[in-house]
Amino acid sequence: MKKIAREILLPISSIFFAFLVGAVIIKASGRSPFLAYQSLLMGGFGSLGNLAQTCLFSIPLIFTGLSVALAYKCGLFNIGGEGQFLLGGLFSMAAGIYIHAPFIIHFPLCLLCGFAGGAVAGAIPGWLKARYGIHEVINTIMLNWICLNFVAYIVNGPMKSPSGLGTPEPLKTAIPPLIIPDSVIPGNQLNIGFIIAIVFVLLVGFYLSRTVQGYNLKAVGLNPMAAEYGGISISKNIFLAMCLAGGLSGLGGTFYYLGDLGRIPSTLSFTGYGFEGIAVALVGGLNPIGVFGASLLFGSLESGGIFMQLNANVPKDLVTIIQALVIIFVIVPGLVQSVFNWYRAKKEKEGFEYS
Amino acid sequence: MDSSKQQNILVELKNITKKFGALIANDKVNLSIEKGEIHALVGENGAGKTTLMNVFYGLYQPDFGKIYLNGTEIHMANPKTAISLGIGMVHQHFMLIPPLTVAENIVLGEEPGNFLTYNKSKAISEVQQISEKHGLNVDPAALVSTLSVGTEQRVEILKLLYRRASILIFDEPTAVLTPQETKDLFRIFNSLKKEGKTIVFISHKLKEVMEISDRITVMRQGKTVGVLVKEKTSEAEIARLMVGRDVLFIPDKEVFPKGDVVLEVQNLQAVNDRHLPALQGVSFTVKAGEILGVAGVAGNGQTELAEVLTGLRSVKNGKIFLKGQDVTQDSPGEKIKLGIAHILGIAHVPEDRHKRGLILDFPVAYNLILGSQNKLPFSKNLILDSQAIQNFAKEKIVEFDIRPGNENLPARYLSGGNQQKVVIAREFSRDPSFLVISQPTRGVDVGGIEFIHHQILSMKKKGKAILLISLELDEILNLSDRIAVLYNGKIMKILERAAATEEQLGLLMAGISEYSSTEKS
Amino acid sequence: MNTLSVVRDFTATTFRLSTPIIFAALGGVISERSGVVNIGLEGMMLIGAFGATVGSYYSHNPWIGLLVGAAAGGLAALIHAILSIHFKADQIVSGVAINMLALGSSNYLLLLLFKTAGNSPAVPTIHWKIFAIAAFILAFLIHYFLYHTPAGLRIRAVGEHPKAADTAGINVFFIRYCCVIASGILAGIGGTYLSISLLNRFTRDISAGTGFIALAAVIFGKWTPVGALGAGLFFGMAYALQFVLPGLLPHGVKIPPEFFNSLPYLLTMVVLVGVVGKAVPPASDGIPYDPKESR
Ligand SMILES: Nc1ncnc2c1ncn2[C@@H]1O[C@H](COP(=O)(O)OP(=O)(O)O)[C@@H](O)[C@H]1O
Ligand SMILES: [Mg+2]
Repeated sequence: MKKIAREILLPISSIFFAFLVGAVIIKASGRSPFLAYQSLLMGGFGSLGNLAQTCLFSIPLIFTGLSVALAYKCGLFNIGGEGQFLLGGLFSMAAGIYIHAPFIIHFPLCLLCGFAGGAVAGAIPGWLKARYGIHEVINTIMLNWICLNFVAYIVNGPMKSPSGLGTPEPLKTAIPPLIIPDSVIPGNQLNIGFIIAIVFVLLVGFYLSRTVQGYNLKAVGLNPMAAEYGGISISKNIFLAMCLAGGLSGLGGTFYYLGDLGRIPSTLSFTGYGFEGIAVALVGGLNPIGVFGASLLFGSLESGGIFMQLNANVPKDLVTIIQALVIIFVIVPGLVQSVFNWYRAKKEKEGFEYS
Repeated sequence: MDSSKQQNILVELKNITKKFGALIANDKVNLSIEKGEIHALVGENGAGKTTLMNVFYGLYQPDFGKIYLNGTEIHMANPKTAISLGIGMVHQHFMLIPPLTVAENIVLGEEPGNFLTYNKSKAISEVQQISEKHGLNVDPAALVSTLSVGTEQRVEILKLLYRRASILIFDEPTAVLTPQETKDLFRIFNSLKKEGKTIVFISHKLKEVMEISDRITVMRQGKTVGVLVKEKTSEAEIARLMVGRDVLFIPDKEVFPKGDVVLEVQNLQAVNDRHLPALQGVSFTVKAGEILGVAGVAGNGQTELAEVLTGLRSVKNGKIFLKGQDVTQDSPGEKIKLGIAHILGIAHVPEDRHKRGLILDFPVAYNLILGSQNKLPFSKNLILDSQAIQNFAKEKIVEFDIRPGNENLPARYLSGGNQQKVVIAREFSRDPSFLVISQPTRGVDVGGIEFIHHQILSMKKKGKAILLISLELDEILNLSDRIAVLYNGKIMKILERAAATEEQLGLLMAGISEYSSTEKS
Repeated sequence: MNTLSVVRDFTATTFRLSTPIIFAALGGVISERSGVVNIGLEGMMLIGAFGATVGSYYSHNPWIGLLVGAAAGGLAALIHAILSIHFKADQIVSGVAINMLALGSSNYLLLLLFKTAGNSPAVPTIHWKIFAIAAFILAFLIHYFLYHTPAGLRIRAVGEHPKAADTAGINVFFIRYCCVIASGILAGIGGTYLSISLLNRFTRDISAGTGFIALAAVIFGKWTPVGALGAGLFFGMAYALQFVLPGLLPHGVKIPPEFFNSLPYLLTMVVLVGVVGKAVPPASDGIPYDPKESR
């Protein structure tokens, strides 16, 4: 229990400090921090509809957050979430438009294609790292841009719809169904992706902590030389981790484009979910349950941000600033920790627990 | 400088206390050094010698305590302060920058020339001059990455001389040297002493201490436990102070009937990480119930030998037979088969437990199954069995006296000796027929050394074939039945333990075979 | 078609597009030579571009804009320095945070100051050739600085083996701070070029990956200033191709613009496979220095 308390304390206080700095920024802009945060909160949680919106926004974040966390456990830094997200979206959209099958086959097939698309974008830097030892950071960044251009080309070329808005809409059998009927919460768009995301949170958690493969992956991440000595292949695990990470981000893209948007738009740009996935993973302490919590928080910021801009006249880009600040406070425990140092000192004596 | 009132005392460290987290590395340590003496600082691994000198050199800030130089209190803010006061230190791990030249390494921080240009030729000539003056024989223009360990040490000494240091600290300088190179170093010590320099010599080798020092300060578990004058003391007394009890462990010299050949190696060749030849035709056999010791100075192919035998490095040429079966991993280009050692029943205690032996952030229990994680009873159908893992860990913790006995504690928080016990416990529990044991007691305290040596001997009693690779000549001499000396990737000679003398091994380790002891490279 | 004018256009375009990459890459070289990885170059360029626009807009003097842009980049770098040097944070994560911070704050301020989410108003500019020439000269100056001055020797020592440098009496933290801030200033100048020289205004996310290309140029140039110059020109050329090549293709053959947009990134990946093993980063690049840690 105490361990959990300690693990939660850092993210919570980081979030607190980030909002504090955010308030200073709002004040300095001549706006009211109180009003801003109130509308942010209302926008995120104020009504069932807003809450549903928050959950909807958290779906892609859960997937990109899991993606970053899983790669990180293998010692890899996946900055390629944006590209994997797009490619996953493209693959699943293609499956959603061109394959005809009943829902029970079609929808899972779309998910599979989305996963595969992301996995391809993850596999390339994974292979380059495993085979040539080239740092994944640089290649995942490069692939973000390559994927962006590639998807933009396909969307505005071979897959262009007559309407000119981007791709055609996917078939009905490919669209993730809503969880809550429209009659209960009018206008809500929260789809089954949220439940599937929760399933993946549990799956990834189980994979990392209970399977031999998870053991191997973490061993490579923590000490590749020792892993090799223990008969664990470094390159195989690196490749696998990047494929899985890519696939997870790809699923994020799948739900975003099939569900939220209903098409891939012609004016394509990075969605930001890939980068936010980094923040989510860090705030979530790189563990799946934490990722889930952090995704809800960031999802609420997103749904609340628009509200804040309208109500308090504070640009919603403040949300990005706050997210960056949260990262900063999380990676610099020293900044936060001095506040509860006494607490830590006490902990140190009681030994450590490991999961 | 010259007339100090306190009868020649140059340096005084008073009540120095330094903590690392909960660990007290230095506990109110006192040390006083007279001008012009060679002062030995002795103590076991982990006694706190390096920490104390790092405090004196300004690398660490003490939590407590004061430093006096010539009777005045000094605040040693950083190494720059120490350097400006004429203090120089040769660290246990050399502080050299491989891609820079010798001269650049030496002048770094006090470069000749002005703000806008660093005068390379002046640097080289100045270094050349000092090097010649002290007979150190170093090429200032050479890249440090190309130097031997012995030369690197001379570069370190030149660094101090270039800065005109008058107090020279040497942290375990002989650990990396052959007995002959050690003699050379002591010759340099004596000539520096004649020039009026003061030397602090850190060591745990008592023979050397008795040979070179004037006075001796003994440390144990972070405390000063005695100050001795060389003439009035003995190795035995120092040892007693160092260890805190009387006898040191002397392993039984029982000889068992040797069994069949378990491992045979023929003309083994392999390259190192830089693709340079590291093993150049090594041949030997190890029989059941026998310990073959491999002696040698670091970097003569020991690492590669252990890795080749355990499938972590591919063989370029030659053959390895385990119980008559060819197990050579020589497919060039192709990736070597990982974990082959564990599949074949070879146990491997790697030379550097932090690099290969342990995953420091894994709990002890997880470390104890590394290499067996995919086998029964630890996992079934690729799912880990936590209960089995925990039970196994609890059992081994008791059997090998691993402390603290918490199987969920990350290995990082164990002391060096206990970390090594985790590795030994894991490897010895595989029921191997052949063991490669590298540096089993590096950085391990005396109690731990004793325990580990007992374990190794009990494996021998069980009829295992053991290859023991160690840089500690004493360890080799104490445990081995036969001794092979590795030099420059070749075996100089294999001696029966009974026939081996330290002197002869020393020569062999320096690449001098006894028959032509005068001129041979 | 006039071959000569094509060549001239191509050359000019290459230089125009190389210049920001070169500035930021030189910054990256200095920072990484001292042992601090700077993924935040992208954000420092972005915030530099914004700062320059603001400076130029309010002072009506583009040179003031340059100063403000450089300072803004330096300020962003100071944050990176504090996080990664003082607090020993993961340098890559810190860089990512800087990028997000720059993106968020430039858009935030864009809306606040100029009441727009897209483009700022037009501002006075500096001729691009001034920057292009300066980038060239700077590359050689930094080369001299790194390899022929005491400070340069110390920087290289700190990047290779900070503890060795520390024991030689060198202030590792001070050197790293200086280098990281210098890298931010250079990236800020690169950003300044984008907004008040290549264009005449700030547009949302104007850096659009240039900082990341610069990062690739650092590696491709093997962590040397002259190498970074060459790599910057190479990438500039790859960008320039898209303006020249379509005109040279036989009739009917069309290559989508998206391909050209990807070309520098594709080339980077290919090139990295080629140079790998031959390009060795400074030994302590990316590792925070803690004097208490052995080695
Ligand atoms: N930087 C450090 N951080 C944590 N513990 C340390 C550090 N340096 C040394 N120690 C611990 O302090 C004790 C004394 O170490 P040291 O001074 O290196 O001993 P010696 O040089 O006598 O072998 C050991 O237990 C060691 O593990
Ligand atoms: Mg020591």
